Amino acid sequence: MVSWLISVLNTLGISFTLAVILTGTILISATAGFLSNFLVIQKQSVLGDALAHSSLPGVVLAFLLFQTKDIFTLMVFALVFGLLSSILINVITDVTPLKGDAAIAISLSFFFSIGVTLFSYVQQLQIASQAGLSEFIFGSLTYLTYSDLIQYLGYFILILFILFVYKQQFKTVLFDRELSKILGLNILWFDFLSYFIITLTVILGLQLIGIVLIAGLLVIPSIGARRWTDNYSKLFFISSLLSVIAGVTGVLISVVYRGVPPGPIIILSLTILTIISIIFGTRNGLLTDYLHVNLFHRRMNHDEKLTLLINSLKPEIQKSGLKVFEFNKGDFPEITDELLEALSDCGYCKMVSPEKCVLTYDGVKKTQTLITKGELTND
Amino acid sequence: MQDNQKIISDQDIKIHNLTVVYRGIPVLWEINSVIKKGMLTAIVGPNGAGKSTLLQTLLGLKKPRTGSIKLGDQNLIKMKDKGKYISYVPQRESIDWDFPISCIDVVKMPLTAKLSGFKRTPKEYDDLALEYLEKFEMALFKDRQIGKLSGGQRQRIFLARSLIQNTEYLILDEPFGGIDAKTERMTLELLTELKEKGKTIVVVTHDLSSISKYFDEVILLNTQVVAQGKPEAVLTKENLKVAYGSFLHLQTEMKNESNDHHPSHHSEGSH
Repeated sequence: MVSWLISVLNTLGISFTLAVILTGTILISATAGFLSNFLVIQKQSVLGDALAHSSLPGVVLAFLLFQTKDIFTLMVFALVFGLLSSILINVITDVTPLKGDAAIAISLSFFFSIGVTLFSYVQQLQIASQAGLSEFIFGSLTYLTYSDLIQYLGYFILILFILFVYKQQFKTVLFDRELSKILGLNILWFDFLSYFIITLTVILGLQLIGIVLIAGLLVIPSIGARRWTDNYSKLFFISSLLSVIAGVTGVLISVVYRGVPPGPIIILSLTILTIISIIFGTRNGLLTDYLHVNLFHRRMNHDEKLTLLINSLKPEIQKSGLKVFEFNKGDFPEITDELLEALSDCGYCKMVSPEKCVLTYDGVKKTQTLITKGELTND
Repeated sequence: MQDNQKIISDQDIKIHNLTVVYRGIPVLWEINSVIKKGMLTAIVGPNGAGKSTLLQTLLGLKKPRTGSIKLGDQNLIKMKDKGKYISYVPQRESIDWDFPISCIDVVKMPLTAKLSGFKRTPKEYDDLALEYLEKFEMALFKDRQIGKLSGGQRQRIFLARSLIQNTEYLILDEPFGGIDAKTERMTLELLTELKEKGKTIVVVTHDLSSISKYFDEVILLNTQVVAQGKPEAVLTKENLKVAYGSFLHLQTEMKNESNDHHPSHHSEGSH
């Protein structure tokens, strides 16, 4: 798969080195984009930040002890420090009256400070292989090799496999922890798994994006993606896609303007994509909602407004028939007060109480004409 | 396994000496009570009385400091797969309504939760979920995202979800707050129907007025059990005063006020 992607990129006239970097970027951003949904859905966005920052002392310590940048070693150490960090967070919230956000802020800066202190110590040591360690903070294009890439692919497949096998379990735990416990799902295990995958992704993203900004890639994609879909599975794919677009853009810009690290550009592109999604997204995007509520309704004539109402009411009408038709406003969240007001004004419907609305004789007659004219289908 | 299930299903839930502490403050204090098999039991009490905590301890979601809850000779708190015996309709505030999930997926969740990713969701799960959605007149909303429903409709989705588990014990946390008349009628009809089938139902409620009409047993709670028994024996002025203190006055006052806001309380047209 890797060599295939590289050869495709090669035929596009992209050099081998750049192809390696792009493939790595695609793998990392796809994974991070996927996982961002875990953190955002659980409203644990800052936890991603905390995990990333507190992995720095682990990474530097592993490097100091073994002088290696092997992903697995780094990950084990990062995992340990991540665990220590989350224990500290829990202790703070349990023992003191502080809330989670304050606890996370304390723990995050505490561990990051240890990391930076260790880091400057390592830099003074002049170890031959320390080259590249400084890139762990903000990321760099220079140090990604073909053998790294093969390793990345292995971990990428491992992560996808875990997510796939436990798809239903993760969905249940994310949506309703209480139900999961009642059904006997081992919540601790799934928490650990998602925590493990997230730490692994932090380590995979270290070289390219850096420890400071990887947290952004682990949160932001989900926010934009949610504005394009209400579907759980599609959400994961769209967030991955947004993340990959930003990743590739970041790397390309970083290549063109030498010296600019890719990490910040990736996060900038991602933020722009997210803003675009928040404004133009089809699911509660700002502009979409605005157009729907204001312009669309204002420009419609009464017939079109009635069509809109009847379409929303279809389920009820199918049950009880059109004549003597009354409905509860609260049952149809999509029917706006503006619409009902406008239709009451022209006499097609009437509010009989603050909650109840009836179709008037005129309204029923008009609906029937609309059906015979074919503007409303009676299926 | 079948036999075992039957034995357990025939039992009362026995709460013995239960104390639950949250941040050093006792929420429940030495609760001793029996929830009788086949009965419709209401748990009432003022805000902060520990009603929801009692339910969550029953469900094994909160750990008690001392005491036990037993179903037959089994420890209910430690029991794995409680989902075979107990289903639960949570408070609506505890659900993330923005979650990207459709109504039908919520309803069939108890069945699909343990499926491996390699297995396709069996078609009978979908059929069953649709059947329960239909029961609550929600079939036409099956593919809608759960947040895009009214309060009453949201509750009906969770009623359907609890039924799909097909359990002997059903626990509902405040099902009567902030719902439309239709959903309230459906909820009460469901409780009566399940009771006739011999199921055991526990409901936390704030609505003292409807209790004597529908419920067999009442547990009046304020950190401790103030009284338990038949509604008319429990809901006496003296008991309520002990449980609610001066707050009872406030609650009835607020109730009158909210009734004033909705003067028309006539029943809905039949569907």
